[in-house]
Amino acid sequence: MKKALSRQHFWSLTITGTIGFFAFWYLARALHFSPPQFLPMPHEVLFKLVDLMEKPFAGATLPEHMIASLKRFGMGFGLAVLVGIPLGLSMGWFRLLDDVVTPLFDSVRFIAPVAWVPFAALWFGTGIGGPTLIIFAGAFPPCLINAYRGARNVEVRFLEAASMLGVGSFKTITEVLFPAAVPSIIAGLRIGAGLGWLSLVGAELIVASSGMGNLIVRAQSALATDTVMVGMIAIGAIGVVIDILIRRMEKLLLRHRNA
Amino acid sequence: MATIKFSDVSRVFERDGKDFLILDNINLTVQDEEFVAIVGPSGCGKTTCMRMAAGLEFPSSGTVKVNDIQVSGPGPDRAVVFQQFALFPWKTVYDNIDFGLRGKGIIKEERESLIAHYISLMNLRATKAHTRINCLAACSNVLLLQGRMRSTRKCFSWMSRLVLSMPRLVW
Repeated sequence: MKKALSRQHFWSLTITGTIGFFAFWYLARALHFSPPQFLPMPHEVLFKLVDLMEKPFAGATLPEHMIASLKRFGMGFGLAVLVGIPLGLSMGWFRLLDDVVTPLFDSVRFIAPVAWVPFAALWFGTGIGGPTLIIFAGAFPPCLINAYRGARNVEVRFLEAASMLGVGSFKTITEVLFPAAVPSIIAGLRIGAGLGWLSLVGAELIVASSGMGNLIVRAQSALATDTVMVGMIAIGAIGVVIDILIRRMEKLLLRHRNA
Repeated sequence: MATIKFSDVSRVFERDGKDFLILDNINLTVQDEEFVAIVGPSGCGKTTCMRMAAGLEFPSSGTVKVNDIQVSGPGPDRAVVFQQFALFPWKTVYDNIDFGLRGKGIIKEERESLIAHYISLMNLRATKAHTRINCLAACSNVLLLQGRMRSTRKCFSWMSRLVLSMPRLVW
């Protein structure tokens, strides 16, 4: 690979790229790639964004929708973490558990989270359980798998030292396996958070009153394409923020692991 | 009192479908308080012998007995110093030493004084027992300056942990 770009070079390329992207966007409108109602202009999207901060659409303002979505995400992702990590670590430690759970897990894990929408609707109606289930279905596999892999890849000498010192299973799992597996677990959290957030829109298809996905769907049926785009941008932005937060946490936790 | 007895111990390793006989009918008795050093070229089975006595590995045939009880697994009565130091990098020096003590039903104050005693005995006090072990840096510093063994701090940490798990044998 060629040597890294200088900071100046990097920024000039980024700015050029961004300008080019917007230029192309305006050009697309000018050349009538699509009827005007179906392709909002960047400035229209921006105005709508500002507008939605105050004025409600589909029952709530933009910040209110965001909070509703984040609540559901928090529940689904939180559940995935609380179930996935201990289970993954235990599966890495107890062979029997591994043999029992892995076949079940492997058969279910490739079902797309959105495919759970019908059951989510049937089992939970329009309550918070529905979206939670779907976000959980997206976030759970990476959390479980990475905790499992992290546990299995712990250096044997740590486990041997723990058993030599006469330490029991529970303490070994919590004080040796878990800390050793933290890098892998954090990677799993990042992926899980991403997948869980991506599943959000599908999750909110069945929720009646609020949320980013709901906003988009309602805006689409009202042909308010600028609102749809605002929703998309907001979803993307929150996703980025979540990822950054987890990376910060990763840096913090791995600060001491220089040995 | 502790004795180790290897009786007709053989150990076969399997690799790529082929069997390698590493130890062939070893008979060895180590008496109580005896200091034994096993020497030999790399790969001759010295570590394997040790690990069998520690209970981390098992013979393919023959028996290994410690105090006339067949070894069935690792335990604090047979302590091991690992070649690459199995100190936990996510724990402080204090917590590493405390780790083995906690399962033994010793109350907190007694543990604290024990650990403090050994930390000062091993001269670890100057290095702030409550900081994280930055072993790689310590190692490289020591190697550069002294041109010889690995981090003395790591070594002493490990020894303290061992001594405090109160084994009857130390390898």
